[in-house]
This record gives sequence, C-alpha cells and structure tokens, in this order.
Amino acid sequence: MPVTARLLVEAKNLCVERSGASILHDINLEVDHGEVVALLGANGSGKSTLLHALVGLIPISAGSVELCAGHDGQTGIALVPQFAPPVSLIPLTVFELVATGLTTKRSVLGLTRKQRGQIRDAIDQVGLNSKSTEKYSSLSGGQLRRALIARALVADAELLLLDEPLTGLDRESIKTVVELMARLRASGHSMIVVSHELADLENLFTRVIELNNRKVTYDGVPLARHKHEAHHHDYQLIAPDLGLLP
Amino acid sequence: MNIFEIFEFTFMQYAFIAASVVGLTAPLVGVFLVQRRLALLGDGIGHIALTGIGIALLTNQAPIWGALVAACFGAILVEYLRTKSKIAGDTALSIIFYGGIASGVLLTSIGSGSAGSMLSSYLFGSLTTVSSSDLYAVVGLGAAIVITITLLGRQLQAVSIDPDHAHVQGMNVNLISIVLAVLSAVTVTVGMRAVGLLLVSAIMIIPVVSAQQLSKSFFQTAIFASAIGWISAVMGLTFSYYVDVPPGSTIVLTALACFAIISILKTTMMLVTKGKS
Repeated sequence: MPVTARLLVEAKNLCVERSGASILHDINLEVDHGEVVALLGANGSGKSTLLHALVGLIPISAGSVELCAGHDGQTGIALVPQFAPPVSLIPLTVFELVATGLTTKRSVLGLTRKQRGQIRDAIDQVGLNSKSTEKYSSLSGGQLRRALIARALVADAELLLLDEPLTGLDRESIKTVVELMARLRASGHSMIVVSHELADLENLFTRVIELNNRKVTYDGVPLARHKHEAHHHDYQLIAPDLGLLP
Repeated sequence: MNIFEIFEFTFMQYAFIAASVVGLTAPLVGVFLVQRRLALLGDGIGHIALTGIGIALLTNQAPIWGALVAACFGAILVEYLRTKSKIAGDTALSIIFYGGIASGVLLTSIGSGSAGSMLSSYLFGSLTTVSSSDLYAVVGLGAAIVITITLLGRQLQAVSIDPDHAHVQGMNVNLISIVLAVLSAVTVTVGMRAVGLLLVSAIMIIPVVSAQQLSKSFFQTAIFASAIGWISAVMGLTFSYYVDVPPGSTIVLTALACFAIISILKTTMMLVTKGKS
C-alpha cells in the first residue's frame, strides 16, 4: 500500500450532545494517509465518542465529517472495537468471524477460492493460523484482539480505528498486539488508536491528539507532547522503548 | 397399521409438503434471530398476521395473502419501533402484538361467522386446511426465503454478529435489519397452515437452540437446525394425524423432545469425557 499524503478523515467543528449535555465541542480534525494517530484522554474525555462519531455510529449535533477513504462503494475503514462483538449465541469460528469483514461479494455458492485465500492470509498475518477453525469465544483476550484486527485486514481497509486495543491484556499479549500494530504501520496502514496513555504504544504514533474537557487540548508529535505535559504537570512520561520501529 | 396410509390422502400430502417447507426454512431465518437476540420477533409477527387473516376473510381474499401483507407491515413497524421509538422497546412491541391479536380475533370472528374452529386452525395449525393454492404459495415463499438467504447471507450474518462493524464497512444495517424482519414475516406466513401462527415461532427457534449444542460453526448450526426442523415437522405431523390433535402442538413438542435428547446426550458425553480425563 503506497504511502501518499491524502486526506482520509476530515471533521469540521464537530459537536456531539447526549440528552442535552455536550460531550464534544468544536472538534476539528484531519487525518492523512499514512498517519498513525493516538487519541488520548482520561476516562470520560470523549475519545471513544469521537471515534464513533467519525464513522457515524453516534449522531453529531453540529459540524461535519467527511470520510475520503475507500473505493468502489466501500468505506475503506474498519473498526476494531474495544470489546469483542457480544458473545456469539451461535457458534462462530475464527475463520467465520474474519470472513464477516469481507466487503467483496461472494458467489451464490459461498466464498470463492480467492476470498478464502484472503481470509487465510489475514489470519496468518495476525498469527492465528492454528486457531482458524476454533470457536472465537475460546480465544484469549490478546488472541481475540488479533482476530478482530484480522477482520479489519481482510476488508483491505486503508484506515483502521482501534478502540483501546491494549486494555485488559497481559504483558505477553500487549507485546504481540503492539508488534502487530507496528507491522501494520510499516505496511502503510493508517490508524486512529484510542488509548488512555501512550505507554506501550509510544513509538508507534506519528501524531498525538489529546482530548480534555470536551475539546482538543493537544495535537502534535508525541515527543513535543512530553514537553507540553511536563510544562503543564511538572513531570515527564518515560515510555518504554520496545525497539519495534527502525 | 400401515404407516404409509397417511400418504394416501391428498390433504396429508399437502400438509407434509407444507410442514417440510416450514421445517427446513424456518430455522434458517431463526439462526439470525437467535444471534440478534430477537427470538420472540416471530411470535409477535404471528399475532399481527391474524389481523391480516381477519381482513382477508372480510374482503373475500385468500387468508394467506392477507396474513403475508399484515405480517410484513407488522415486521417493518416492529423493527422501526425497536430501533427508533423513544418508548421502551418491549412496551411498544407489546402494544402492537396485543392490538394485532385482539383485532385478529374480532375480524376473523366477523369474517368467518364461526370464531372457534376457524381461529383455532390459524392459531395452532390444521391438517385439513392446506389447499392446493396455499401449497403453491407456501412453496413459492419458502423458495423466496432460501434465495434471499443465499444472496444476502453474508450481510445478514455480519449485521447479526456485529452491527457496528457492518455499519463502518458501509453496509446499510437498517435495510438488512428490515430484510430480516420481512424474512421472519414470510416464514410466519409459510408456517401458518401447518404449525399455526402462535407456534410457528417455536419452529424458528427451538431447532437452532438444539443445533448450536452440536455445532462448531455458524454454517453448521444453520444446516443442523434446518435438518432438526424438518425432522420435527414431519414426525410432529405424523403424530398429529394418529392422535388427532392440531399439528402445531405435536410439531413443537417433537422439536422440544429433540432439544431434550440432544441436551441429555451432550451432557452425558461431557461427563464421560471428564471421567476419562
């Protein structure tokens, strides 16, 4: 996927209200192709709301959002939710879960050979080959997160929206998911990642947007944010260098 | 007793074909309803379909088409109220359902002139009421269900599993939800004669709950559920003939018996496996 400067998301003066209360106010945001953006903020700062408002899952009360990714009628965007889809009442294999990400039409007789290959490739990319025919409800937290990323990959999405991808994972799973995200960045995928803090993802981002009190309070490169934060809070965040990026 | 004697009667041949269609197709729709936690949707649509039958009888139209129109209208209304209404979902739905069955009883009683037996045949099924024109309609509607699921199965599955993800990908989640509601309405109409409006929902759901105990995948569940639905319909209809009771009751009780047998076998196998290890 070639990296070119091209606008994928543009939000202008975006406002979100719920039951008359303002959740987000006058947000302006542009995300270009190739950018990996952290959406930071404390609990209740509106970062997940912003993610969902960008893709129309939450109605906006004012402003506009334009999505410029995709082609052939597809959005070119895929959501990797914080939580897996509600526990499937019907048994669902990892292969079937990933297959729901396919945006191309399948033939009347089901998946084509090419589509099966695409699904297997996506599962292979996240290292879950051995789990392909297992029920997705049997996966661990980290494996589940990887399966959801595979579902996004099979859609050939240009922009991945990840909501708290590391929350609730143990150290080993965090390392695996961070490595996977670094590979996605290297392969040219753009991402918007909602997170409480930079911590394990520090080296991944090209840009950090911080939300506080319904507004964007910081928008810039990660290192400058440290200075900004130190200036305002008189402490310095020391993030571990996982050495994932050159 | 000659077990094949029941096939000598034309009305039983019709009833078997109608029951087979509903047994095979209803669980194919039910698998999506169970996944979306809409297991009682078919039940509610059945209530509304009765109003359509009443209107058809009053206007001298074929009841099956009256039921189909009312069921589809009701299904779309229910879907709208479920997603858009500010009234609590179950409250809004119960108003529609109770209104549907009350109007249905009133109109059917006026339209038929004999409330009891006529109502009973629509609510619980009847062996002798499947006419040849009904049969064509049932087979045609059953084929429409299978074709729709074949063409839109991926979208129905994606929306049933994770509507938010489907929306972000660009699927029209509202439209797919309406398609599922209308499929449920068509299934209710297909099962109206053989199983009855009050019990047809059971044949959409119980085989799915049985099949999910045996299956490892969504696809397997749909296939097994369809097979269990067909077995329940055919065996239940046979019992109905010999015991001389409405077929809806025997078909649903057979489906429940399948569920009980599968549950017991699965539990036993799990205990045996646990004991060995």
